[in-house]
Amino acid sequence: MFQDRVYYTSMMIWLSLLLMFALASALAGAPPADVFLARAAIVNAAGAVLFLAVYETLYSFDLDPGSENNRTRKDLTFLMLLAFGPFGLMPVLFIAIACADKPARKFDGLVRDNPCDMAEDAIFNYIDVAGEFQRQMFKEAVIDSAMSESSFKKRNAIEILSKIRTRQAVAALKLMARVGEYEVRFMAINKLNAIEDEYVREFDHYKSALRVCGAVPELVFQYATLMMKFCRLEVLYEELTRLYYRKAAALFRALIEADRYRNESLHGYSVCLRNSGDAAAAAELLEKNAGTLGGDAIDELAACYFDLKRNDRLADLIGRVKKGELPRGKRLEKILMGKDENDDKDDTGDGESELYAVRKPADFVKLLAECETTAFDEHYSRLKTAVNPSIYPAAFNSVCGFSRFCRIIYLKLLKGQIEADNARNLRYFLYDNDAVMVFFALDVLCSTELPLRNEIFMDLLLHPIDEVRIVAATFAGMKKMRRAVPTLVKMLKSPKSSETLKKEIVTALARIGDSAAAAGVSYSLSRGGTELCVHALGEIKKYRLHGFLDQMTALADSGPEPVKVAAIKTVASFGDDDAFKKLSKYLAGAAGETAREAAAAEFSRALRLEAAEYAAFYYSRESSPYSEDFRYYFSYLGKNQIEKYIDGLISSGDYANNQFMKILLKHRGSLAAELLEKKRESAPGFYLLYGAGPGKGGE
Amino acid sequence: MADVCLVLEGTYPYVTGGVSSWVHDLITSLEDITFDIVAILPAKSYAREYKYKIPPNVSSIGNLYLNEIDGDSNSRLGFFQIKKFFRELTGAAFELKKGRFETISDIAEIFDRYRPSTGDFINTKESWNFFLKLYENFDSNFSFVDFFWTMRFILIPVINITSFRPPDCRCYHSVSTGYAGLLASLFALGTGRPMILTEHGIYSNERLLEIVNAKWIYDSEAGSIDAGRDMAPLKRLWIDFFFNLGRIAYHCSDEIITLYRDNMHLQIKLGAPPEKCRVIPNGIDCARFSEKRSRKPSPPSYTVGYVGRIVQIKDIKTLLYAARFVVDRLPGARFVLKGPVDEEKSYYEECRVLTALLGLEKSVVFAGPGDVKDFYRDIDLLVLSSISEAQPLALMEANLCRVPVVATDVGAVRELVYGADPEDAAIGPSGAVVPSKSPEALGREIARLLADPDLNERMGVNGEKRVMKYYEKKDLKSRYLQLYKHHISRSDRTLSKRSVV
Repeated sequence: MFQDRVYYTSMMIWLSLLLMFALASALAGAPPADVFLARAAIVNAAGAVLFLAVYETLYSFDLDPGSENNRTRKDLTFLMLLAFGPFGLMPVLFIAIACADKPARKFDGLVRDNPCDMAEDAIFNYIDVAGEFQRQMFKEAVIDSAMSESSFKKRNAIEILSKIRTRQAVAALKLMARVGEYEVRFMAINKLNAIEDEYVREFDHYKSALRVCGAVPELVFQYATLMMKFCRLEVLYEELTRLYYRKAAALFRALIEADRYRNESLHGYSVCLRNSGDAAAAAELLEKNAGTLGGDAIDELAACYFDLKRNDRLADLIGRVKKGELPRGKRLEKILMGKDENDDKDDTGDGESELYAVRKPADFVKLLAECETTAFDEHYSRLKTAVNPSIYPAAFNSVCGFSRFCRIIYLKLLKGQIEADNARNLRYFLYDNDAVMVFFALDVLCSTELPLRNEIFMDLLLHPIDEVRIVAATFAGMKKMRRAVPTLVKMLKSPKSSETLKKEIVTALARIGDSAAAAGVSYSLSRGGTELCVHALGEIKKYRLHGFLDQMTALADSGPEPVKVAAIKTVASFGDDDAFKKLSKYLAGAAGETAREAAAAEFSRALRLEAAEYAAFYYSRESSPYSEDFRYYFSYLGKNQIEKYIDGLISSGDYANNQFMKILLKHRGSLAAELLEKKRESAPGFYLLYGAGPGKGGE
Repeated sequence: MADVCLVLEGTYPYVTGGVSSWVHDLITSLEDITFDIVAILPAKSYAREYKYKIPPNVSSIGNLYLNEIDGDSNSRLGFFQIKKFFRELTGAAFELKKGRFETISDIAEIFDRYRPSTGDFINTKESWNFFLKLYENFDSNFSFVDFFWTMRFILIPVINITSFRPPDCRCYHSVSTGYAGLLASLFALGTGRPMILTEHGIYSNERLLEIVNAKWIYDSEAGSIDAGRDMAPLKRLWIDFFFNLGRIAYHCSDEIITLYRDNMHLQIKLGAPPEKCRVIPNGIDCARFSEKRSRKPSPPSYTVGYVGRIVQIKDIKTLLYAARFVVDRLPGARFVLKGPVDEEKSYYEECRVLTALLGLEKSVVFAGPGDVKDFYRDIDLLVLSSISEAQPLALMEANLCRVPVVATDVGAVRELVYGADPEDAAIGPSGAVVPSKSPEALGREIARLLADPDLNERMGVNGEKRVMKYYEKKDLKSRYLQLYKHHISRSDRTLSKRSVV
């Protein structure tokens, strides 16, 4: 029995020791898990040796003779328990420690293996850029969608921009936060807030970590870098951005003073100083430490000199770098190794040029040629992201010799690029022998605000391909290009122009709307075929062109049926009394039944009292193409109008079996009841006939 | 029989907020009118204690639970009846889909005639065939399973609404479109009595924003960066549903009321007949704010006030950024934010963090909720940074106390500050309006109005004049009283005519 007690007692003591150790660790601030494990293993081993010794001593005194028979088994059990039992309890202990939620444990994972990489990380890079750009290839650029007329596209663009999260994306979101449409504005603001909030939460996390863990250099460096990234996004207004730059600068300064991450911090500090408007201080700091600076910091010093216009010092610095006295960073390296004229434009001074790793036309051309290989995704995404767009024109001559596929890609890249040189190059494609290339070029021209675009479209009005002429005519109308009117009219009169082109020309002329254009529209009314004539009438209605009233009534009198109907609709669309006075003869049937029904529909749509009898008549006909208009008439005809009609009926005395009244009672029961109630005294006969019936409103 | 049945969705008396306060105010101020209330709630678990003391002129409060199907999941209709029911319903549903909203009365009549259970609608072969037919007529090409489950989620509330019996009232008043609008429409159609619709915010638009951003609706291309892609068909289905609910309510209402003109134009754009629309703004009790601010802002200490909940929609963070801008220029400026902080606790915490990050601990005070009556006397300016509002009461209260305002251009703010029409505008501005989410502009205007005491005072006086003239609660409540009386008498005439017949 005693030996059993020894087993239990030894186990209990062992566990107590382990527990004491764990509790002490937890109370002392819970050291990192690996330290804890190492200590636990030592205690475990020591415990095992200690209790084996105790057990053997007790056993050698033969204090438990009754255990003789099971000695080996019990020893084994004891050893097993001693060796493995405590390890089985480890998870429980760890959970207990974790539950104690010591503040320091929360930040265990915050320190990165290599904090310096952080600046290179796309920390908010949620999307597979290469894959998505491939899918985007034949689709609209996000920024075009953001600026489009469609709210739906705008909403989609906001979603995408909020995922991209570059400085340009944030700028576009800021623009969208000012648009008129409430829901677009609301969404853009919410996304901007979400970006801000995410950073602010991160800042708070780092702040707490620094408060609890002390000024761990890695944490300070990461915090400062994150703040710098936030500033570069330019989510906040300028002054506040400078405030954050100053905060980041203070953190970098602390690191410099502590001599940790010295070169990176010097670089970060000077970037922050320069961007918060103190390039002089940044230059001074970097000059002081010139002997120990890394390449990126030397680049920054050059940028400071450039900002401060200290050209002599800049020249001196470059000279020293060239001689190898000072290290060179990536930017200076590129400038010194083979600067081309476009590089200057691209030097934003704070690492922005890294966006454009491909800066030489030759490299661009090579990359473009490689697009035909199997690694298309990779090359295309590099073309979209890594190439400085200002080198596109320089590559044009080489591109002309490429396959159609590569030339299409080149055209896609030109979309949105507004340099004059691109316009010049695009014209070559617009007159290419390959119609596909022409259409792609036309697409680029339509979606890009290139210089001389209007002139190019003027030329395109006489392009050999009909489709191109149609697009050019549409464009001329959209931009209200008055200079294009004579050409358009000439094309309208030409028997060679297709019917579709003529229609587009009429639309363009109607949009332009000056007297010369009106003459063209008038020509299409008098000389055009039925289809063109109907189209022209539709455009007159749409763009509210005046001066065609007589011509239209003539068409309504004697034109073919579709023209008659369209003419009546167009005249009515002007909505004034004169127009309806002209139309009243059609209501009386002057131009046949179809014209009468169309006229009745127009009178009904305008809620005019003259239509009452006709609307009632056509309403009852199942097959009327204007049934909606007649139903609308009975739903919305004004109370005074109805009363006037009823008064007319009463005074005429001819009101028995009146269709209008029947429909009115069915549709506007309560209003009819109210009006009939008024007539109870003055016209009892009428009231008896319509007002005393059963049901709602006298039915 | 009560005079008015108020149909409310997710508001009074269970939830506090702008609309709830408005409803409570309306009921208490119209003592001579008796009200029945139908409160629409998502489920039984949402029915909590009343957040308001129920006035004596409320005769009953009924609850409608949109998503409850317990006890009614079995089929109730017989073999032939259910076939007939779905045949008629399919015809009417397709008419409705074509945009013929008058068909809603036919649908209401079909439901009234057959009284199907939820089970009839979701657990029968005929309902399956009904969903199949709808699916075949749906334009988009997506999974039937997704369509089926989405339609079930959409239709269960509709079934619950159609089976809810209308309280016997002289007229029905819905305080939003959506489910409440549909219920009131069905009440009005079923009883032949008038319906009034008041919209504070535009329900369909609010749902649109919610659905566009919803993560719970499946979108196979959620990660796409193609801006030209179509909206996820299931999202489109939900949006169409809510827009159609709006159109039905507009179609069935006799009067459509909103708080300000922009909203009215939006309603018309969404299908409300213009002749039914009118504006009745919110009003405030001018007698309650009889004590006016007497002082002018005096350097170096300035007090800028904010009154409202500390929640995301109010964009308090922009206000804090603006505060930083102001404090940099006028170091003595102090911002006092008065309002409950417990509605979005995490947001409040984030605001605190931002306050500390911006170094504004001494300049910004989160004062918590409390009576604002005296608060306005002690501030030099009221600021409002919301990204969405209808007709902010705080702005009118501040103006009434001769406190000018700087507010973001949302809802009726522009009308309140610059005037709704030329006559109103002639009074002069009562503050400044800036774009939403523009801390710099907000800060600049605050600093301008603080630094110029004469301008500040002049704008305060303009504000007082405007509120007294156009937003006196007594006048506006009397407009509701007239409206109710008109419709009640109309309803009575119809009733008496029927009884004679």
